[in-house]
Amino acid sequence: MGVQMPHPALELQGLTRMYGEFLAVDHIDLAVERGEIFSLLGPNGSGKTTTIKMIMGLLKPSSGSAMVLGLDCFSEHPQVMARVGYMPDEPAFYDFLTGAETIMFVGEMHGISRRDSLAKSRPLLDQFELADAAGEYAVNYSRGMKKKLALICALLHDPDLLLLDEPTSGLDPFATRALTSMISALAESGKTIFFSTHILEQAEKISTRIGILHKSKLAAVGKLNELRAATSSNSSLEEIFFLVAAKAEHEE
Amino acid sequence: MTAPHFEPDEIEKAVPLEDHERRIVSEFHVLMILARTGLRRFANAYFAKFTHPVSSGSSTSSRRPTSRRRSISLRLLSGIVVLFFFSVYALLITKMTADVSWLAQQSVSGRILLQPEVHRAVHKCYDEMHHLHDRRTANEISQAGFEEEKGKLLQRVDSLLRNSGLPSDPGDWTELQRANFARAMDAFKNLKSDGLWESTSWAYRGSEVFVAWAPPFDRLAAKAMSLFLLMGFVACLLTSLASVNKDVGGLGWIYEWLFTMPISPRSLMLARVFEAGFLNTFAYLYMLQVIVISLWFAGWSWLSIPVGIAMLILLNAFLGSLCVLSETYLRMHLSPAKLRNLNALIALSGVLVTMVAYASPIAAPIAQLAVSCAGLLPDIVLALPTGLPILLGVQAVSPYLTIGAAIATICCLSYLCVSQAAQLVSGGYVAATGLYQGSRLPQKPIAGVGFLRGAAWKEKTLLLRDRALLVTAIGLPAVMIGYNLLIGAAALSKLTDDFARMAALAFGVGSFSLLFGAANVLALEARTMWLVFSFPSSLRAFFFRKAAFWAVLSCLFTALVLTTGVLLSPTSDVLRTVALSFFALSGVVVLALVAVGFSLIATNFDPSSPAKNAHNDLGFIFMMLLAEYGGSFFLPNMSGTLILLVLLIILVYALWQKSSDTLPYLLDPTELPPPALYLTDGILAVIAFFFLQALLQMLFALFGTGAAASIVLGYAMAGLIVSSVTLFILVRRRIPGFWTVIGLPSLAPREPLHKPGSLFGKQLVISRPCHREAVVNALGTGMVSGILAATVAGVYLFTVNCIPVCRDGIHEYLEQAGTRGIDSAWFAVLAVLLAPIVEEFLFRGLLFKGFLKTMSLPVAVAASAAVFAMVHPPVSMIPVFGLGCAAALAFHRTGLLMAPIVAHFTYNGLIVLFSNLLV
Repeated sequence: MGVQMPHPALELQGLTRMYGEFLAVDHIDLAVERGEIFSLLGPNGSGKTTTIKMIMGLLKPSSGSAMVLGLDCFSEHPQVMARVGYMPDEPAFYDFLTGAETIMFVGEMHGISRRDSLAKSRPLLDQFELADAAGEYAVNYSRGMKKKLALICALLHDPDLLLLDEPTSGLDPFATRALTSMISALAESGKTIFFSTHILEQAEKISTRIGILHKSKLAAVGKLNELRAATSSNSSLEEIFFLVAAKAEHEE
Repeated sequence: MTAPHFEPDEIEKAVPLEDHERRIVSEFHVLMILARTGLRRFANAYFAKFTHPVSSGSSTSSRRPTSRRRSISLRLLSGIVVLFFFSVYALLITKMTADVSWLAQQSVSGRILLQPEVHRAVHKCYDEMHHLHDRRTANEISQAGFEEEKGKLLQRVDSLLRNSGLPSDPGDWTELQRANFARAMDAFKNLKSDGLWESTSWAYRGSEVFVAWAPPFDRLAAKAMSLFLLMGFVACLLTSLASVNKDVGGLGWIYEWLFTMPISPRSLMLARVFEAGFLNTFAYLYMLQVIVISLWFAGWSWLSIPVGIAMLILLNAFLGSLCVLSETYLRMHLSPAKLRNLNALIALSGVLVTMVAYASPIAAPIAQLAVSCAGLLPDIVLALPTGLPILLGVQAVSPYLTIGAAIATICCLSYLCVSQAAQLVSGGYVAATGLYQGSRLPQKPIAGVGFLRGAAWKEKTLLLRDRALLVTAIGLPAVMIGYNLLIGAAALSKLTDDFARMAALAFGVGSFSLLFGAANVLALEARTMWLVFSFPSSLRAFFFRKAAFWAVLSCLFTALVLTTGVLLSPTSDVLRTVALSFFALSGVVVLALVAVGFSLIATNFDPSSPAKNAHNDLGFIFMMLLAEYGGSFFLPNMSGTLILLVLLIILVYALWQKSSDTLPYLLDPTELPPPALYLTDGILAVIAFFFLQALLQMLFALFGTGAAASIVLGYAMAGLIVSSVTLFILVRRRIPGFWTVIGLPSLAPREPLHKPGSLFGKQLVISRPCHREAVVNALGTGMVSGILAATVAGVYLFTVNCIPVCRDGIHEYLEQAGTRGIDSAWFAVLAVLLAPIVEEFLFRGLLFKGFLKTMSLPVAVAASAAVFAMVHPPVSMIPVFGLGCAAALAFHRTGLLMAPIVAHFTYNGLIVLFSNLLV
């Protein structure tokens, strides 16, 4: 057994987080392999954003650990950040930089020259129809445009893992389709996508594996057919979600 | 949990509306609700500063009552501070009004100026004259007697007037003076008091401003005071406008939200009038005082307070309406980016006018300027809304007419403003030039690729484009120079006299610009912190680059002022000039790092509300450091500045050392880093000690204690104050194992005894059993180290004693050390007993332990001993360094603070012995 198994793209071991007395995330164990599209579902307040923030190193876990490609998210933060692309739920940018300048700045901070950043972002800007607005100050962007800009910034440095927090909220159907097809293409080329959402239909369509958070605990995790088998129902993800929630409630 | 499911009708049944009537709240009610809510928001925002996040490190529920208690005491303290400031300002404005009144009378030229004693004497003569006439009328005195007495009084008044207020040679008198003199004498003869007081004038002095018989508050004085009121009004207007538009998107959103409620635009505007006009603290601090005190001087006495408040209410209403009209107009016609830039200009002018208003009672030239302007302006100035309250004081005009006019004008104007504002939004609240709505705009050119890269490029670009930031970071320091020159018009000549002053000004200007840039680093990055976290570089490196950028920028300012100084007054003392310039520049650089360092260790950081983050608890300490360093330029030699610079550099190191513990918790809403003892505590205590010692020494010397005694007293008191305050702060932080780390395990409290009401909820038990062996060991080690240090010191002193030049210095030191020249015994006690305890606590307990956190033992020992040596007089530096090392080693070996204290005692005792032998 001389060959070492490659590290999973994302590994959460007993990840816990308390806000004072309130338990926001309760001992999550999860492993996302490379090339997977993993979606984390759950109602508001179930701990999705907190989990993602802990993976990003913005919050320190109360106990447990989050590892990206074998690197600890909290203590080896800079190395993790070089391999992760993050798109927050409500991105905010520097008011007085234009979209293009923001992209150049982010590229430079990741070690990519300005010319390369602009070149890489051009097809993305076109696809997301931001090309015209790229010369406008970011303060004047609408919410959807800010999300698109954040997504482009997250992709600049070819990350191995994409962390998306509610990626499609605020996007119009064209942008949503562009995003979902891009996610699939990235997964095929070996990148891992981890996103949180509460739009169940989208999760159903594109994810390879699904995790359901209910009241800070990971109530169920697995491929869609596994979940169907576990809840012995042949229906849509929506029904499965409510069944899982009911079961978790019952077990408390 | 089943999926939520609503039956039709369920909602309606749950919340029934009577008769399905849609209720419209009356306008007056709406106004009350909005006003109350506005007041509540204002109070919450103010009190939010005094609530601290509860550390989750503790598990006892007794923490909650403590933190609430703490916030109440803080609020009380802030209330007292506000009251104090208010009263001090009232006194200052009283003096200003007196000055204006006097100056006004002077400018009605020709009046005979009398000193207060003379004025009193004249008044007494007048009373005597009156009494004389009464006696004559009652036939108590004969006509001859009457004429004799009258003649005497007239002669006295004649000589009083001639000697005090007029040139000694009557030929030098001006026409007006001659006329006034004749008038005064005539008035005196015929008992016409008006004539008398209109021809003379008197100079105020201090408490005499409260004397009841003040000269009439005439039209010119009233005009001048109304100019001050106008200035205050403009300042309030500008600052209200600036604060309203600060959060451009925010306020718009609130308004759009309120508009969805069934209220008319006019009610909304009226509510805004209340917020903008009445919740403006500067109005109460300045405008109210000006009105009330002017009315007091005009003779209204206690009535001036209610009348003044009433007039202020009217003025505030007008202020609010003007504000609302302006902001509505601006928001309807400008895009957010332009609005922000205009806002910067408004904010700057607001600050400028406010500062001039604040300075007006202090700077005499401003009062003079006001009176001269008032002389030039027509009387119609008094008919302005800002003049009417003061017009009440002019006795020639009927008060009822004035009050009526005030009410009428102000209500009319306010009504006009509010209606106009409501009319502006009648076509829809959202401006046409609002957020980017998809319109095709021409491409802006991408910022040129200069030699700056990455974070530095971003800082530079944002600084240049964000006019608000540009104005505060660069415009304000430039304004400050002018402002300071305004305060002391003779300052410019004084500046060029002594280069130290120029250097201090250069440093002040440079570090002032830091206040808005470097000190606000977190607030500026608040919303984009998530982006910063996603970069593959450590946060500390990122912030260090920011600090470097701001340091360079502020240095440019400093360098500019320095070169101006050098060019204006080239001196021959090149070395001193170079040294001072070096200190000024390095001070700015170090303070930039300190400012950013303070931002990094802040813990109640909220990315969603950047406004809250601008309030930095440590900003106060930063300003103190700034003042301390700037003040040290004026000391006779530069050793104080050098020591302070070294201490500040160590502080930078300490802050950035602490930040590695606190940065992971930066974006954490509830967790705080576990409480621990850091180098920052120690070094801040040492800096405070250093400063306080010098200050107290100066104060004691002023009060007449001898030089040696004042040094000792200053040292002892400073040490006592700093140690007790530091100990208090650190104990409240509830660091686990604090007492053991400090080296005083016997003071550690036992387990909590569930007794609320005792100090900190726990009982302090002093006599905890401590191992006898440890104590004996500590005593022994202490004494040994003390003896070793004293031996080294003795050898050094003996060697140096052989060099005649140093002998005097040594003797002086030994005198102080040997407590000679000190009168009473308890001074000696203070020096010998208290100093070691305090010093050991600060330098060994805090500083040494802080250094040990990240440095190896020898480096930590040397560093803490070096700092210890630095704050001692130069002649004793080497022996004291030896003592420092010995004490630190003793402390490290035994872990008890007793060891270094004993070492210090031993050392002191032996030195006393030596001094008695040598001298």
